[in-house]
Amino acid sequence: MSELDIDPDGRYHGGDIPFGYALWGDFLVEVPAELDGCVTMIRMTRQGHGYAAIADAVETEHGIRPARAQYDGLIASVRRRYGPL
Amino acid sequence: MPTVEVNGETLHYVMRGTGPAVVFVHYLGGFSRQWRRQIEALEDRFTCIAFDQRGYGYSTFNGRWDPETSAADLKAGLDVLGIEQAHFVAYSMAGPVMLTFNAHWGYMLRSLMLIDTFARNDRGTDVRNAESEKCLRYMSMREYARQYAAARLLPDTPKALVDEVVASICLTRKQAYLDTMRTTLGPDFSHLCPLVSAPTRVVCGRLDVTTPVDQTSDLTRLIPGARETIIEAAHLGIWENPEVFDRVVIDFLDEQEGRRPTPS
Repeated sequence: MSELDIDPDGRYHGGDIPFGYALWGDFLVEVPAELDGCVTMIRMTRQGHGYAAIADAVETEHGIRPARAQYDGLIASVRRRYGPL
Repeated sequence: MPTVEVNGETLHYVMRGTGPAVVFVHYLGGFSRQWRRQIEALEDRFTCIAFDQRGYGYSTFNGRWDPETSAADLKAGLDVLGIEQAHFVAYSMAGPVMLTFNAHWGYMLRSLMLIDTFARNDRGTDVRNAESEKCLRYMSMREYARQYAAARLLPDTPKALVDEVVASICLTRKQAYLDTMRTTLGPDFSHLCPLVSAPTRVVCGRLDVTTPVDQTSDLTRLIPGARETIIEAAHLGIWENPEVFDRVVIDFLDEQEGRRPTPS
């Protein structure tokens, strides 16, 4: 994993692209199905589910399966922003 | 919606009812509409006022946000409306705003209610602020808000209310949001607490991890004569436990006007 590098104007300079986003030119753009999956991942993590069950649910509900590293990256970011889940 | 022009900004506000003035001050990501239930319940006996702070709701954002500036906006807005004294109800980030306001214009406070707020909230705030700033470089406010709601609202919060919290955060300008985090999370406002002389009630959600009970209890300890009420909710009891939340707010305000005996 490598740290996402985004400048103050939102321009992408390197690093792992977060689940929910894709690179379009120099900028990250939103991927709606993946962003819906992010919400599911956060909610299920709060409910105490583990990665495998969450990935299955996201795949069933949103048609996209997050990789373990993507899941870990999302939850780590959410915890840094908001504290313990 | 009416507006006032103050300090280079156009602030939207709500003003309804008749009687002694009550001023509601919203939380990070909120705006005046969050207070509509309380205003509906009180407008028959109070003049209820709620501004959208600069950068929030429908108000403009031409400068910067910090507690000092927001307090000055509030004072200027109340001057325009001809309000000389009021009861103040402040939620979360509005705590530092009201502590600052009180330090300058304490004579305007008839009473103060501080909800899920703090005098010092510096645990992990550097990390929190840095991560939020990074995320908001590429995330829309809508996605930021959706993740916030998923992470912070109690799981059984009705979807309509979750949607309302998300919509409210969507109206917030990114820079105002970041300014607010930087200038309220980290700095210590404890020295302003002893300056409060108005009757004060501190309210906290028992499950709040954003401003935990021990942080709100610091307010109770530092503000002379302050009393504390803990309710079953997390940080947004206004949505998570509306019946109890409204009762606590309304009872406190009525109590200040001598309309009910002080609950034991």
